[in-house]
Amino acid sequence: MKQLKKVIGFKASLNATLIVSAALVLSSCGVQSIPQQKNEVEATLSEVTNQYKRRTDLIPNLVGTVKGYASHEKETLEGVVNARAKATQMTIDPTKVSAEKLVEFQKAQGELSTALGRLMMITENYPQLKADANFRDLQAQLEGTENRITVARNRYIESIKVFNNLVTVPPTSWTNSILYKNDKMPQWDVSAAEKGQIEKAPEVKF
Amino acid sequence: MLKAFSILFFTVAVALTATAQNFQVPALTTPVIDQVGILSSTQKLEIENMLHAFRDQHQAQIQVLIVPDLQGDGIEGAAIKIFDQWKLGDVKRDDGLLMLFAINEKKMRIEVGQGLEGSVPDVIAKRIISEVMRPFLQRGEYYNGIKLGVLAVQGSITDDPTTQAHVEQNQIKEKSKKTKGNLNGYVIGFIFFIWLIIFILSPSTGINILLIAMSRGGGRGGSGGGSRSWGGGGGSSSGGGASGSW
Repeated sequence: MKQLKKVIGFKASLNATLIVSAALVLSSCGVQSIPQQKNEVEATLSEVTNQYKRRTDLIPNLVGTVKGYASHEKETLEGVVNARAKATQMTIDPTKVSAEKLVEFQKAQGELSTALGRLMMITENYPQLKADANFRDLQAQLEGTENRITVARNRYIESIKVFNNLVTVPPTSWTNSILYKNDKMPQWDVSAAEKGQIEKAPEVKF
Repeated sequence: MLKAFSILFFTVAVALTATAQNFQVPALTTPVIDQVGILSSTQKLEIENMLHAFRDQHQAQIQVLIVPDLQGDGIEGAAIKIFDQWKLGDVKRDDGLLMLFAINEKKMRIEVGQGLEGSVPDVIAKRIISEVMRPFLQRGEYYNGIKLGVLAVQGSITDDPTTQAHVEQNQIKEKSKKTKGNLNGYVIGFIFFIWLIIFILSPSTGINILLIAMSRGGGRGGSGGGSRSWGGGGGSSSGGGASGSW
């Protein structure tokens, strides 16, 4: 009887160690971390689109204010308005991202960045516009938004990198191929035209 | 294969650019970190006390960092790096705010935690930089500039209705704590009265009880006093705020 108890006790402790070790293996094998990181990628992408939307929301006010002082700069102003219209049509669903869609989205936003850059360039020629309090506020908001876009984009790139590592580097990649069958995510590629824009954009002096 | 290679190449490129911008973030020790020494020790202490008191009363964590230069980084990049590492503000409220000054570059930035974006919007941050601080910094009056900047930031946080509601709530909590404190006094008095009766009836038992009570309560005296701790609470910033130069 005593021996039986001992055996049962031994079995129980064996079970316990099995469960504990299984939990340890599972927690480091990606069963949790792969879907978690997928959610993280989706969240960071919606933050990116959110910040881009913040920028498109600012533009009507900005164009209106610039128009008041520089109405004959029609071409530049129309360029911004058209680029904005294009960019607002181009929406992205964070749960269903394809490489092509991402490129299209980036292209539309990149064109808007270029058009905005041109607009901010010509404002340099209008001292009265630059002295306008409303314009200054809009400029501060635009700078802040551009910076938020940069930060959101960096975080998105970083989260994709972590996700792709989980999906491609063992041992988590084995779990992925057995359970989840996720593909590598397309990385956010800063196109050359936009790159030049980023380096110029935050430097708005007055 | 080519695709895999290009992705690999891109991640390497990102890693390289990340290491190329190598602004070294100092350790977070006090509310005012002055690596240049433009503030005297009494001036530094005064601003630190302001920031401690503000955090005690309004919870928001304001941090001042003065560095000689940005080591080749942009001020926006350096600020977000510092914020990410220090995690200023509470993890749930995200109510941290960083005021960064780079003396050689003559650049400054107010980096606003996500929870404070409503009370210190970009426009206000920009105005504090260009209208409050810049004139002083241009004249080399760093202490006045930084102090007034801190006051302006604090002002726009306390003017925000949500912060005011927070403070009122805290005051109510404090009051209820105080009444509890009185109650504790009565309880202690009552226990002492009982002990006195026991002591009169049997002095040895009374002394034993006293000794046991003292040995248990002895550990309490340590808390409170000493230098106040200062560290991040897990807050984050999404890049809000404003930059400027002088």
